[in-house]
Amino acid sequence: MDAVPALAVKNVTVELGGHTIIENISFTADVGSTTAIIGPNGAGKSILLKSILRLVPKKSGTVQIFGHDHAHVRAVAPLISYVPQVVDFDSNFPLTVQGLFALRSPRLFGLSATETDRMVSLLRLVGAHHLIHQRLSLLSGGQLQRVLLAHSLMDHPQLLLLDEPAAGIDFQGQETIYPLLHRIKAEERLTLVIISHELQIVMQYADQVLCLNKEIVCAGIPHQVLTNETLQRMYGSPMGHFTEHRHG
Amino acid sequence: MVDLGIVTTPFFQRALLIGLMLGALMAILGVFIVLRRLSFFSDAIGHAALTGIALGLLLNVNPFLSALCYTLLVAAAIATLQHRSRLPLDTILGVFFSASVAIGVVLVQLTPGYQASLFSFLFGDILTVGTMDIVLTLIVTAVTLTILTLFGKKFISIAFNPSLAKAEGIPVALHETLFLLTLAAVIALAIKLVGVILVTALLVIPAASAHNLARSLASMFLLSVGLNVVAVIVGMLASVFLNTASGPTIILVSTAFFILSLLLRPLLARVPA
Repeated sequence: MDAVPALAVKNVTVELGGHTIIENISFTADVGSTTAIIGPNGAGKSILLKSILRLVPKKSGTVQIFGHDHAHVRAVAPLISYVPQVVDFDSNFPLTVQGLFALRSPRLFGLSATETDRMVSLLRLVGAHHLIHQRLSLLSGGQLQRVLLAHSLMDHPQLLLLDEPAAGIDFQGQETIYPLLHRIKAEERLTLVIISHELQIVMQYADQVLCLNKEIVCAGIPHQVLTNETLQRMYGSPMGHFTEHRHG
Repeated sequence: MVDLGIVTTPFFQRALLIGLMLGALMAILGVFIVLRRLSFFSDAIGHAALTGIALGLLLNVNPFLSALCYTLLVAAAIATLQHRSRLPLDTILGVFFSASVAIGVVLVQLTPGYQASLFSFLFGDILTVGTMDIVLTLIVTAVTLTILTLFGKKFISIAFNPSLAKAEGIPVALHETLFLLTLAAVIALAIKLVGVILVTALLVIPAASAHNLARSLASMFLLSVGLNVVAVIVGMLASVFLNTASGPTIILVSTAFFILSLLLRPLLARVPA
């Protein structure tokens, strides 16, 4: 008997405002794997993640997380976590990094000693422990992304969805975020689903890739499916830059 | 000549006690309102309470009990429309706001002998609190504090970012409805203190002052409560000395604190964390 996958998406279609955004999407992510979702702007990558999280309604299809239908919030919420591409919040919101972590605690005020240890070790893991008392509104894009990554791991999720984790980060940050994710995945025993624009990163870290352009254009092991032909079909133009690096 | 003896009378002390309880409660709720930008909602609910009061007078039941029931109904209707219609929240609130005032004024006019008391409903008259008002205030305070203890962190998570909160498994629509109902109950009671016109001020001004000064969420809550409690005490005592209406006097003290916080804000920004 096959093991239950971490994520099983079957025939998911999402319509917003009368327009089909993604159509008939099916894929599975095995426990402990890294799945990369690539595709041009407007391909529906973020909407796919949001439909898995039930942040947008799906028209049809099913989503199962470790065998549970994603509508069973009580069963699914402790298993899954999410780092969005951008977190919109009021720049005057008086929340510190520690305060953000405290919101996840069942305690009335603050965090327990165990929770504090967990927060500190996670912030240390992402290299942001010096920001613990900093207001969120004062963090740079890269610092905020690291804090949100640590925050997403607070309750020991087993499946982590990341929407372009390198977006809005300076070049140095982009260089370090994927090795960091790879290390966190091993330490926290996670299954990762990542939206990424960086094909080199996909080739290096992903176990499977999903090429999306409203529907699935290709899916499988990156070295096997990311051919110039499929990329041209997806992006509509040859990916010279990618070819050069791949064979370089 | 000002009669200072009034301060030592049981009815003044009873009014002060109610004022302090509601002031502290509204200061806590005010923080959520400022962070969630719900000032207009509290204004709409405050004005809806006028209709509830008028219905109570017409049907000969305690006007604040009828205001409580009516505001709860209006809050539930607004929450339902917000989640089920495509109309923006401020449009829904604008409709309820205008309709409530119109119905309230017409109902008061239809109630013989009560036109004179319209002024006290509009601007409050805390010195006339009775036993029923105290009982209602105690019940609503206890229920509100229990709700805030159980769900306060979830309310803050939603105020910070509703999508992130939903992704964490928090039922956002359910919690938003619960918060709006809680707010409606407290507003209905606070009408007694400051009236329909000024009830939003008592909710929003102390929290806005605290927002100007606070560096963390905890300090924002503490400052908001502290400023509102001081405003209630100073405002009520000043209203005796100046022979002015207590509600507006409390709001004026609170406004003075807000102006002070605006002046202090740039100075505090220079102090390292």
